[in-house]
Amino acid sequence: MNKIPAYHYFNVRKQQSECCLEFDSLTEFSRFVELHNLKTIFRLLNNTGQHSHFAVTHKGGLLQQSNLGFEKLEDYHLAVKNGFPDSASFYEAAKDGYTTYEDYLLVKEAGINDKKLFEELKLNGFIDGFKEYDTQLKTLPGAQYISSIANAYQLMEHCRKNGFNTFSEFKAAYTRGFSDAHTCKIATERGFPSLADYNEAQQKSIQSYTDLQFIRQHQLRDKADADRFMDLEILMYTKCMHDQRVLLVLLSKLEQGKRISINKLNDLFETTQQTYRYPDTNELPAWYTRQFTGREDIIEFLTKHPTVKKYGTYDTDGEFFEINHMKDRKVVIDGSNVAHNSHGNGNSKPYYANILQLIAFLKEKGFTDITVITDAALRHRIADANRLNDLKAAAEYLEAPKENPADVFIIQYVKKHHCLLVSNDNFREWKVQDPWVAENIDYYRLSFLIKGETVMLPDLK
Amino acid sequence: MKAIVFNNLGSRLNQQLESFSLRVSYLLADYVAAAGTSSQDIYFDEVFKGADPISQLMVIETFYKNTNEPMAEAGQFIDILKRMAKVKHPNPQQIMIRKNLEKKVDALFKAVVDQMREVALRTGLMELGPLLDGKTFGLYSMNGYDLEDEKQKHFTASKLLTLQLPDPEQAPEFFFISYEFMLPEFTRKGTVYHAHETEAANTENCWLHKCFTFPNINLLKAAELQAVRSLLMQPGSGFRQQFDNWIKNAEGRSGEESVAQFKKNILPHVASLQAAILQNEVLRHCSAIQNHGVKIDIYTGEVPLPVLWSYFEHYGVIKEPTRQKLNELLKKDKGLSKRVPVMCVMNSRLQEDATTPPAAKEELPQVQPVKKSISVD
Repeated sequence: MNKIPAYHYFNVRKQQSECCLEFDSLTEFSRFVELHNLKTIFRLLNNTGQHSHFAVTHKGGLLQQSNLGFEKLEDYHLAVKNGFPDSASFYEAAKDGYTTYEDYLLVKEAGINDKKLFEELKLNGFIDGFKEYDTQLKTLPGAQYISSIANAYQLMEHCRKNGFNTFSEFKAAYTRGFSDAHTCKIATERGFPSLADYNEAQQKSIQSYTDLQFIRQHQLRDKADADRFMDLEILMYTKCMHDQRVLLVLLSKLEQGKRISINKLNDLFETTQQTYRYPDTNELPAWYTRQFTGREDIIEFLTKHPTVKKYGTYDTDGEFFEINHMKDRKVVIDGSNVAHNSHGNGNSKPYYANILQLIAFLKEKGFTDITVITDAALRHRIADANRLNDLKAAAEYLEAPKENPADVFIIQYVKKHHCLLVSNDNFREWKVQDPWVAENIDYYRLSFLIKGETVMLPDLK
Repeated sequence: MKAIVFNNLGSRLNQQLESFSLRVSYLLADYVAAAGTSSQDIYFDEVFKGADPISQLMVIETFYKNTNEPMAEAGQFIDILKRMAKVKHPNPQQIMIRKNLEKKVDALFKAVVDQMREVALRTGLMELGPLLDGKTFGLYSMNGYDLEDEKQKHFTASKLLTLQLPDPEQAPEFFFISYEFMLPEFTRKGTVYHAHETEAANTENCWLHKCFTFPNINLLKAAELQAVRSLLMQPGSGFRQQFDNWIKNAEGRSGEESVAQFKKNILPHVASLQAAILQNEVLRHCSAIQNHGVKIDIYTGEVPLPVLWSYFEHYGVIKEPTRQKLNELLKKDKGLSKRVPVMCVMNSRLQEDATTPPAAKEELPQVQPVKKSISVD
């Protein structure tokens, strides 16, 4: 019966009837009443004055049924509809404001006394959520088993303790393996789909899922391994194996204009190469490709490979490598820095003339491979814009892309070419952000001063 | 414990360190206030979202100011658009012209904002937006073009720098400064002493003492900062309490007593909090990302207020109108020459500049050889 009918009640103490029938159950009584559309119900009081039966009259007979503790027939209907097994539980639940037996049971089992708390449970999806958790979620492969969750309230307590406000938040994290909201949020922001991926990244000192995918793809061990890999991969020596690149980088940092014996060079190379070995196994990474098997291979490389000539010449008789003077090296000029640096003053107006003066000085010193890199915006701020064509004629001229500051572009350029860099900017903020800059930039940077007709580069001997 | 980090549009203070100062303050203090115009970078996207065509033109004009680009003259189109808006019943042709103009301005505006956004992202400030809850992290917003403008509920620089704060019931405050304070171009005006030096007792002098070391926390996202803060709250409670007491008890205290109380009451709590910082998983991971090679040091100490004003003036945070007002206030109230507590962010890679002795003014500017080499001997 969907709609619960309303009745009129009359309390009766004594009954006398020649025909008095008692039904089998309150359900049967209700069915009879409904069938005959009876609206008047008597509440029969027993000797102690307690209401013990419902009764109706029909064709002179009295039809009664034990009330089973219900005050009204409507209450009985409600109790049946909402799953209550008896009147005691129905009225107790009603007193506390709970309408279903399920809710009532939940509250009793969890020992909740606060209706507000119960509403919160419902609002945040924990009532239905607990069913889902109990039947499906906790058996998910990879799911972390949570002991002592026997009902929705305990589930909510567990979730709140771990930073989840609603069941859906908990479920979203739980199905990905996360047990607390903080870690889940951090991992999600970094793009990690699961706790397993996040933990792997943590162990490998990796910050984002993109980076993790990168190191997996290239079979790198961790962040340090990835940094070493990238530092070699970025180099312009595309036809060289990794060990050859390591040697070339070493050559780029040696004291200019000096000679180094092959034995010493070999030792330095071995020491440098040692930094690529894994500390626990002392092995070189799988990604590290090798050409050199011994000293003779190094000698052959130094003698024959065209890239080596940028850094020096190997004397086969003397068995030494003569390191080029700086003038034989490629040099890049931080155009924006030089343009602004008249008289050693970093705040002066920028002039192309400064850069041109520096280029002339470098050429006079014997430099031939000169590149200038400037900010895209410099030509809009320069005081002598008409000199741009002169500049382009004097040296290779590159503008950093608009979306990148020139600093970034210059650092990438030096990383690729391991060339000299003329700049008074010591890149101090970049040293904080980029370990390569911190460890390497000062092997390549040359400071300068332009005052009037004078140009000084103290690093040039 | 309330930290104040102050910066302004166009100043020479490094914004990455500004971001760093805000983050350290967020982790260590009860409350951090970003004073000045940091909100424009923190809320970068919101600031520029929904700008009308006239506002867009103003941004374009400012971006290309002092350049030879045609867009430096974008301001002339503002008048045109204003005149167009006044036409009561524009004909279809006028509507089309206006719409075309607005469309072109919008495209150029988006390109300008993209470029500005690239720069703003690098500072790390944009990541701080989700932390601005008003309870742990708030703003003292100012008009970047006129720091003494009080309209639209702006706060003024002169009030900030004389500690006339709008929320005196909040925790005792201190200023957060950065390594530029230690650069020769500023320190040639004076010397910064260590806490153990006797000169530190003189209230006309500045002193700083190294307290904490952090990894490069500019790498952390908002959720990570929140996680670290909640974990450091308990280990840091003793430090914060003693720091608050130290600030509150400053009245009538001699310089010598101030330094002594710092060493006696605050330093013992520094070690335990530093241990918690070192053990924190998120911070350890942050350090590992940079191969444990980047360490940022936090110094604590005291600086006379007028020296602090000079620092902000020297680096272009405050301008002449604010400086004048401060001078006037100092004339009326000599008590403003007192020392105030500060924290200072330093990094070993930045400190090399901080310890270089300043060049003599009359000499030719010095330039030193800087290139390193691997020795072949």
